Amino acid sequence: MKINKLFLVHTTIDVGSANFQQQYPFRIRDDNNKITSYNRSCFSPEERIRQIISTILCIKNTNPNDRIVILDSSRNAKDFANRFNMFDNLEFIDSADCSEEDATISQTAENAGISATIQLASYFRKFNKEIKELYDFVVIVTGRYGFYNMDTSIFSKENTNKIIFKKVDDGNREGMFLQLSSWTLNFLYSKNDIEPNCRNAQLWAFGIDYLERILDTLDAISYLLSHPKLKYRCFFEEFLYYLTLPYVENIIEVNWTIIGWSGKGWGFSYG
Amino acid sequence: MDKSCIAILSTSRVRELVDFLKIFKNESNSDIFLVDYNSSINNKRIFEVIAKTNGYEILYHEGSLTELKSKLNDLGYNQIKLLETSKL
Repeated sequence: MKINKLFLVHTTIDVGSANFQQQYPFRIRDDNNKITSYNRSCFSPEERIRQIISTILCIKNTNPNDRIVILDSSRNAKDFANRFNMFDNLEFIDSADCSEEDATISQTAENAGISATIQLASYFRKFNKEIKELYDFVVIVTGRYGFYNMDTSIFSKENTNKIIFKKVDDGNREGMFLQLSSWTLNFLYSKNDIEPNCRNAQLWAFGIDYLERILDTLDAISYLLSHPKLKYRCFFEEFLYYLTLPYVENIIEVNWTIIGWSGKGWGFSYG
Repeated sequence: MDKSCIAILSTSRVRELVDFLKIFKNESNSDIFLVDYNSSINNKRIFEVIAKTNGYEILYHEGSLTELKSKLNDLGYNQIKLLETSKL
């Protein structure tokens, strides 16, 4: 039986430089080396387009017949649509066409996690009926990443009630754990009954039976990451872990390998 | 002596709940309960983290509004204001 997958590549090709505060690490300097603004990305739009093309090639290589949607929340998203014309079975969607209000928040959010969760939730709300009718799985990949050795046998009719995460290896697990502040741990977790952890948010998937619960989870995460008490203290990945724990019996962890560019500009990596 | 509380009834999905909380202000210094009303939120952990983040008490209630008021009376509150997230 044919399994229909939607590969959702979410990105902000042109992050712009609107109103980002000093908490964000990427400084935009003028010709005199004076800081003019702060940005949440170190990549130019052109670099991001090349990265997304790599992502598309990875998908085409492993899943040639599946639908790809590029979801872009740039202010000038429509300017980029024709850059992907050479690919078939691919649709470029401007996030503003899902919800202008959500797209504006997504464009200006200093925390990339807020941007991603609002963008994804907005898309799932707008195309909810179509997604349920056409697809068995939604695979979510951020536009900076690709993958190889994807085990596609996991996408079966029996697993449409599953959430699939790339397994975080012990090295990364420790690295991610170290990101969490003790304040966050004390605030959210009872140390005795939970092992703090993170989910990999670069590449993950869910069976279509889980669409509504994923939508609720994304709405909750965008709210929590924006909350004054949690702002700058928490990560998309840790909430994705914590809020999907109630579904743990329906979670599958797989050994997918991700390749891509470090968000902090530390170069190309895989893992 | 009067003891007042506001009970925020979560009666729909997470989106409606968070949209409500973004604009809600407690101007009366009443105690606040976040009520999962008739299991409207299908993920209790989401509900609990949102309540905890805002410093609200958590209440789960299955039944009528009258029964909810009675439950809050039993907790010592004689002035109770009910707000429904779906009626934003």
